[in-house]
Amino acid sequence: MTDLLIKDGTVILPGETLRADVAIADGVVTEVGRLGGLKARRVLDASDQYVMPGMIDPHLHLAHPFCDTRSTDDFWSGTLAAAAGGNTSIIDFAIQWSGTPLDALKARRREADGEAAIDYGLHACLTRSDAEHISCIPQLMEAGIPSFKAYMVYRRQGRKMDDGGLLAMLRETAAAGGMTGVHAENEDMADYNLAVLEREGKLGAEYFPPYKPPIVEAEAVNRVLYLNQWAESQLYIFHLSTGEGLRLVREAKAAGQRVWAETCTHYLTLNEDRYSREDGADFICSPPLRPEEDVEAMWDGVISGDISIISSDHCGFSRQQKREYGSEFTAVPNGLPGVEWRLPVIHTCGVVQERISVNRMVELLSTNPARMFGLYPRKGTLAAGSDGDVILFDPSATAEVGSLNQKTPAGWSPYADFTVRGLPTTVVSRGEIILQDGEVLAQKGRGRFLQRSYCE
Amino acid sequence: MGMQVKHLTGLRNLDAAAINRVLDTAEEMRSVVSSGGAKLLSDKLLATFFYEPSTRTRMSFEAAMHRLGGGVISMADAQTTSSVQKGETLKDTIKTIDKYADVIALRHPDAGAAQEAADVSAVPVLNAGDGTNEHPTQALLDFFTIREEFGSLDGLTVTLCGDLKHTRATNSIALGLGNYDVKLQLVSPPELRITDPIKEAIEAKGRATLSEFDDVRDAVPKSNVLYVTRIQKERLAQPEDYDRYKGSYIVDREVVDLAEETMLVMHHLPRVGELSEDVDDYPGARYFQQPFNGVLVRMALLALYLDRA
Repeated sequence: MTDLLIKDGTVILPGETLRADVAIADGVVTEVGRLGGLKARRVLDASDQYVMPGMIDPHLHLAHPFCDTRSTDDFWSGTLAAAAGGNTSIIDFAIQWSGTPLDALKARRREADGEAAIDYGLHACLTRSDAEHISCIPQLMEAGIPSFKAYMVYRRQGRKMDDGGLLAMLRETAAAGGMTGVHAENEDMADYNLAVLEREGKLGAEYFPPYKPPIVEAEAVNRVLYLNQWAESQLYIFHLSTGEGLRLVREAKAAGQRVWAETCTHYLTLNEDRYSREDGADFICSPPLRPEEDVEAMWDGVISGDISIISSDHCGFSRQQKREYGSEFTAVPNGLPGVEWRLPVIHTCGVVQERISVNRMVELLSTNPARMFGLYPRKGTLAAGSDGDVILFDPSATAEVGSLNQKTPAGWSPYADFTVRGLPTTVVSRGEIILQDGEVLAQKGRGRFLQRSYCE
Repeated sequence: MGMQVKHLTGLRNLDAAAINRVLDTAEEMRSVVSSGGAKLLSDKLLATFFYEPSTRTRMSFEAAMHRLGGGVISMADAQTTSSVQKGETLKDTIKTIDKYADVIALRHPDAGAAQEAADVSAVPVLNAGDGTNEHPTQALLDFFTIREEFGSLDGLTVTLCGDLKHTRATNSIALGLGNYDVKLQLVSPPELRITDPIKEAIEAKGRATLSEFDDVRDAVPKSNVLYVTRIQKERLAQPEDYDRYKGSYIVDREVVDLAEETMLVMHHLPRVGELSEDVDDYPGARYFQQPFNGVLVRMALLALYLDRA
């Protein structure tokens, strides 16, 4: 017997829009099509709503450590915020803060298992540039992690992967069928700029952009592209933010490199003017918000297809946390909360403003993350046999973000002054209605670890 | 090893060995699905070419191809969106598609269209329903469900009820079951009986026995499987007969309870009243029970006809 029938909706998939019903039994989509007369235990009327595969946010940092504290969320509250934003899966990170990458994975799973409200995967972030740790890659893949991340910065925090280690990671992941992703910034250039700014006493938030100007990103992108080409590997670029970086990615793609770029909600919808506001320090994140021409360049990349994914890079520091370590940009914890608003903000600024189609939006926020990170067609689409991860989305609902009763524990939103059009109304995860009209129906810990075996 | 014949135009051309092979391969596909990333057809492209809209069948084909790592070109409404509109013949269209696709799933309103396409196509054509002729993938999916339940198709009594003249799926079911030791009971109004060429094809295979009934209640007691299809009023010689026929071809709980042993009740939704809702709780009700089987069977067909199974 069918458990859940979603009736009379407008089904949005990457290539097409269908008037169709979606049936789910035992947590799995059983059919998509006109299913007149089908009896189900529960029926949702989706007329006037979009029915879409659940969104997948492949880049976020729940409970992210900073000094002696962590950002405000945990895997329960953070995944609820994600669900409120229409997500039915997330991929967070197991960062090797100490010990081996396998220790980090175990520790991160202990934080998530029994807590997460939706399904979650992890990227393994390797932080030691030596063979002992990089040789863990096959074991990590065995443990369900085919995607890796290297920070090309943050030496002082002990997170930086040097170029030797990065090349080795690219080669190891290529050999094992996985993928390396990078946070691409040139730390030496940023450090030099910082020394200059320090001498001049320019450490307010308004000086954050000249600390990490576009060349800081572009040079690192250029370098890692060269390494990727040399290693004949496949590369993922997290949070691309500059037109110059995009130009390099485009050229590499045209030359046949296997490289995929991601940008984030905020690089498409906010610009560096935010740093000049009174609350400018709240917007500190790396890479920084950019001038308007880079924002437009990011849309250009999204439209042309050179950018494959839009993520949130969510990091849920509260305003108080952002402000309590000092007003210098060097002291402020980096990152913006965003997992809850990615979908409505991209719908508003992308679809409503006619930059992209709603089908393309689903591709960027759900299907491509699933394809890229080894979850397709289990996730990222609605087809017989896919997990019953479905959202109902009211494309005409209008609200000011700041007035929404947000689930994000950070307590603020970088998009507070946005009026969004289009909001998720019902979130279904593996056939279970976990959120409806703002009400949480999920049991704590119902989310499962996503065991993945390959990338792209 | 793939299939003996290059195209799947209908079950008319398949013998028991070939059908069993499809069903066995479909069974193997379960482990492909549960193990995640299959790459079996990662270098292959499926074109779904549908002259009649059918979201379910098309999506099932496309899901199957995606599950095997292959790519899909989708023409959901070929009649209005492709060069078909400009008067291109089916043959010319197929001769174009077969240049860039490795396999074609075709749905067409004309009986015999699949064979017409197969005659000119350089790549395998899988019939996804052609007019009132055949719907072989649907029938194979039903066989898969039946076999799952009984272990074999041999020895069963299978009743087909409704409009057996215009229903392509029952044609394929009857033709396919003609290869097995099956008692095939056909229940329909006199003017909607299964056509003679189908009967003759079944009789020529010499395995199944055929009997015809006017009232489903007479056929149900010995049945292991009851297959219900819709009767469209406008297809009756005297549409006013519809109400008179209703009782004989409408299956409700009282009818299914006549079966001596629990039988499988099957139907291709949507239903319009020929199968009443009180049957939904009947333990043998299988319409919609195993829909993922459709993907498994189509995965098997893609792999077999592309010679990768």
